[in-house]
Amino acid sequence: MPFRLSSVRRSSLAAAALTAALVATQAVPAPALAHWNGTGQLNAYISIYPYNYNDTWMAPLDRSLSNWNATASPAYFYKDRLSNSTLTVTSYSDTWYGYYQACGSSCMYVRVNSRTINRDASNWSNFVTSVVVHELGHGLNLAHNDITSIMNHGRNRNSMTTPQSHDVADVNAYY
Amino acid sequence: MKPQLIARAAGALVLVAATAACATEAGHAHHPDNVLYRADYPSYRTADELFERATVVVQGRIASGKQVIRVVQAPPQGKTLAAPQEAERREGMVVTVRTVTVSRVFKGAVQPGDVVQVKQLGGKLDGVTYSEEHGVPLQDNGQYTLFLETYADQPASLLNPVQAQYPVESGNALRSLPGNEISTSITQLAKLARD
Repeated sequence: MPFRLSSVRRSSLAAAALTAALVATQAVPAPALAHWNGTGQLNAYISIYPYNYNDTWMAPLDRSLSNWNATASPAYFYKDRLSNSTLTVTSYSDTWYGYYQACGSSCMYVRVNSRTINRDASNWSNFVTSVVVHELGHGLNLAHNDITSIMNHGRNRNSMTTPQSHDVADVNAYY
Repeated sequence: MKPQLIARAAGALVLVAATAACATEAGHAHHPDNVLYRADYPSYRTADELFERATVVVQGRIASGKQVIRVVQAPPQGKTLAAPQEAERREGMVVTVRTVTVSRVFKGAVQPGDVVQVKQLGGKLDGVTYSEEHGVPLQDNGQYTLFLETYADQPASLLNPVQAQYPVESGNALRSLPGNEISTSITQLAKLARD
């Protein structure tokens, strides 16, 4: 039966294409020093509920999203009123600068501690951006590490404001 | 100053515990069995830096027993949060609060015999296990030297989950936790206290 033959061929072709795609996906080599945490977001296209702070804060916060969006990777953060993910800035009585928690496979809470940042930053705008880019990195499944990376606790937050090449490679390998 | 510090911390506990009850009643759409917290802390290079940053540096013993509570920020006055923001606020952060009976003071407005409450991110609450990446819980009955930051409204926090706690070993030696390249000693801390 032509129709069935054709269907079989189409199915075979589709299966072959799918197999090839899977093989190709699996063949993508992970970076030599991949650092993933597995508690990030399911997709790299990540929405955040619109946040609203004064202009001083909005500039570095927005720049954090832009800095990830400018990378050669699938990472893309955008504001959406339908999102359950939030980015919150407040004065927390704790010692951290930034905080990440997944609230689902497509939901995250990013918190920014204005108390510690205001106290420690010498380049305040850069510092805020560095902290938020780091937390968004967790959203992209990146883990802490001790190399040249936005995920390094020991990085200079006053100057490192963008994902580094290793971070971008990790995101590309993960998604 | 000293009694105030302790009383304020105790009062704050009641407050957050009460708030926690409200948060629990409100419920959350997301009910995982395990929640991992990831926080970006300052990293310190030397014991001198830790000492300089800390408001309290003490040696003491951790009491057995702990409280696990949900710390929730107060709602903003005169402003209604959007649903996702309110959900985030109510989620708060689960912390474990332990009590340290101070035996020696290197820095800060406390005295030997005082009790200081210390919180750490994570703990088991309402059937959910909350944990912090790199977090190392203080051990019941353990003796430690701690670098703390204190607050008027909440228990104190370690400056860094790994770099700010040093178990005291035999001979009063201070042990650095794995991953902490800073080493210090009672002698060094005593000198820093004098300087």
